[in-house]
Amino acid sequence: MKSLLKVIQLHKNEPMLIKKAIKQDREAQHVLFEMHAPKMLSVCRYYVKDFQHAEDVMLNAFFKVFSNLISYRNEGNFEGWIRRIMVRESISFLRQQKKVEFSVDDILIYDDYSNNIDTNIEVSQIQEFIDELPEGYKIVFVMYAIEGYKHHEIADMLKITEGTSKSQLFKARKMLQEKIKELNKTTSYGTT
Amino acid sequence: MAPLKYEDQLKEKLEIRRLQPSENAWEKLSNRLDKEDKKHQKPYWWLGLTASIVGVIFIGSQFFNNHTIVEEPIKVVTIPEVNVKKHEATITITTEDLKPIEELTFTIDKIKIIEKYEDENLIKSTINDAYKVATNPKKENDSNRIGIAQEIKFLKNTLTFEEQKIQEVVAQVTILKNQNNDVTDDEINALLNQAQKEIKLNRLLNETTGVVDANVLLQDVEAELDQSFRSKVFDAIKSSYNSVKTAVAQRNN
Repeated sequence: MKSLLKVIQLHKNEPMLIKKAIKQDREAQHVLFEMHAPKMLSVCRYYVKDFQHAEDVMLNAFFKVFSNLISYRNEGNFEGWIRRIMVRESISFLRQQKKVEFSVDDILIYDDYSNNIDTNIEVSQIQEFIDELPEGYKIVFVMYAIEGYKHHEIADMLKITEGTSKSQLFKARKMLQEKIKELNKTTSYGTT
Repeated sequence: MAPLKYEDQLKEKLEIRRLQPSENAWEKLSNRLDKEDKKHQKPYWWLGLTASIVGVIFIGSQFFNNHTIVEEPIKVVTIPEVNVKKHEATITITTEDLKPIEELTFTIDKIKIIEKYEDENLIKSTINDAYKVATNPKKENDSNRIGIAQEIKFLKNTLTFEEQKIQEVVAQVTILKNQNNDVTDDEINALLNQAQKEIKLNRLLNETTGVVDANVLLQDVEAELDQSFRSKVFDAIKSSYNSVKTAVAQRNN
């Protein structure tokens, strides 16, 4: 309870911490890091399969956060601002690893997704399915379905067309549904 | 292509997930931030050092420039120390041998030159001239004597210092001629030099302020090149000598 109150108090003092962090106050930066790192590491982990690499990406992103904190003008949510930096840093990492490939084959996109999918699965399992997706599919799927970006935003960030973004999402969904259905089948068979 | 219902459920599950970074994660980040701070601080440090060096050079140059500027106009004018000398020359001319002549003539009985230098830089040259009008005792006329004395005084006042000196030198040469019947060039030169010195001192010294005028000093140096004074004196001596010679010749006759 005390720790919860402390977190609430710290959140209330977030503007003050940001001001101090801008002046390179290490203590304030440390508090902000402790507040946001667990969530941001999770975000990085959506994109980066390896945990250690995900943490490196997160640290790089936090380094940029604290180096460019003066450009944050208290416009919008501070967490949202950090999160966008995390996403960009993750994509940059994957590009450096040359793992990102976007197939530009024309495919017929049709909405025949099954909405009746049992999602009573563990988070780790969800992450595993996401990790198994090809990098291009995975990035677009996470950005669209989890982060909430629009296709034109994804196209801008990934330097691809909106059509490519849509086709990538379509393929990702198709693949993910099949995996979940397959999992459900095995679990139902296993249980019955 | 709206988000699907099951995707929202996946999102909710993923969003509540928290992953704890490794224990030394903050330490890594902090070290990087420290290095970055030092990188940023170094240029400012060098910039400050450079600015201070430039500032010192600028101030130093300004100081030395001003110093030289100040030094240039200050020229110590050393006033030549004039030895306090007291000259007193008394020349006595006796007029016993002179026969009375019809015209009123005067001779300088006594020329007393006193150069008196007093105080620090104040130089005073006073010349006491005693003029006596020698007249024929028989025809001695007080009123005429007074009139001539006044005339001499008037002439003395109207003449410039230089002209006065010329007159004095001429008178001295005349006196010497009468005494010795011959005047050597050395004696004439000595008298001329003496007169020149007195004129120089008179020019240099501003009697009202007692300060030596630099411009006059410069003019004096230039004037040394000018031989007009010497030529004037020689002319005057020449004419006076002739008149004296005539007078002596007439006396002998």
